[in-house]
Amino acid sequence: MKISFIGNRTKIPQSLLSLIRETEEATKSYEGKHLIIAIDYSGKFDILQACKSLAKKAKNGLIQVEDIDEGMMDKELMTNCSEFPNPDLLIRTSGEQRISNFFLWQSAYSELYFPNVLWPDFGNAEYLDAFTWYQQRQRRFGRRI
Amino acid sequence: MDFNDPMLALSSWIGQIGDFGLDLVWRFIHIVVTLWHIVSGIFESVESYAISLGLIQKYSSIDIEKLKCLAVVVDIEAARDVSKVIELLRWLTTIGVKQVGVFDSQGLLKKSKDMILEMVPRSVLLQETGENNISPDSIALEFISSFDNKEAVVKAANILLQKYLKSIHPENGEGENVFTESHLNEALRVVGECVHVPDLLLVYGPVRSHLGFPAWRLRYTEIVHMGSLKYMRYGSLLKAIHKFTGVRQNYGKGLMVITESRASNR
Repeated sequence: MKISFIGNRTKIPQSLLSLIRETEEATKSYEGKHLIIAIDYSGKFDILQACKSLAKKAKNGLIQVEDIDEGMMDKELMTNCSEFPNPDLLIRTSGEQRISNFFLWQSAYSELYFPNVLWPDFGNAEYLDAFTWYQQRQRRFGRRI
Repeated sequence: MDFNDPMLALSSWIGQIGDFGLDLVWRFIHIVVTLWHIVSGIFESVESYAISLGLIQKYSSIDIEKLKCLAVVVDIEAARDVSKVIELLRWLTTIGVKQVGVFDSQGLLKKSKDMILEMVPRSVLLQETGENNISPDSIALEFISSFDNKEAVVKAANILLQKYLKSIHPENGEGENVFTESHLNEALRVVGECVHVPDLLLVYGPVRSHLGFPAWRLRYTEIVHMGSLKYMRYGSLLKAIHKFTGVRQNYGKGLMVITESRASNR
């Protein structure tokens, strides 16, 4: 399984940062499954750092300002490490019904599932319930039928 | 060789029975879950009817002051039936909600905004009055579409980018400081976008997704799926708002629990 970490790395202690780098390096060539762990991640921060990254590219002449569009923003978000940056299903445990600044840009058409169970208690049965629920959804991605 | 053929056939047969058995189990689980959803749906309908009639005491009074801004997401198919949207907005006016954002991805409700403003009593356009000038007995409406989401953020990002490129002067030491949340909020206002964060988002439609509602505004918004707009119920609306008024938000901050111990002096 390939493991990637996203988030604001400037606030992470050096010891943990070393472990993160080692894990990413050790698993970078694995295929099949990809686990992305968000540490000190904020959806708004993700959008802002994407803007900053585009600004630097424009400053260096790599892109033109007029060429900046949604597709370019998508590529600069932290989730660009994933083949599928926009989740089909977003599960938020604890019964709270909000996404709390997580994947604000990426979750536009994600199915939102809010089970009334705390994370430590979210086990196989709860996963089964979530997937069964998801299989019944009719997704349109904002389009008309 | 002859001995292997029956064994291969047997293992293939066992594999097929196993697959069939697993398929049956999976379908059985689906049936159980579907039945559960049907039963809970019937219970919700009965409860909603009771709430509408005022039979359940706890929903008879709602602390509406806690709900400063509400947003409604309507599925594109449901958005074609503007009369249901108007009915919903009238209910919200009755309940006492002061500010409502109405969203559909294709902007159909934006195109019908004049009619909606005419049909919903005491309604005003939020863009014209501003959030601080809403009179106590009116409801301010905002019409939002997908254009106000990613495209607006890209336009606002371009404004910040222009500022950044102009500020690359070593003596000023500016540059990356333009990329903050407050700067992006300001840039969004410049491109004509509202940055009001809804406290509660009601999603009407078959999908349990916010369907592209402006991402920048959704950070700590409570999201409630209300089902089909065609079969919306006043009781369910009251219940969702009542439940919201009881929610405790930490807004991304950690909880600090202070315990006090008393030594007994004997």
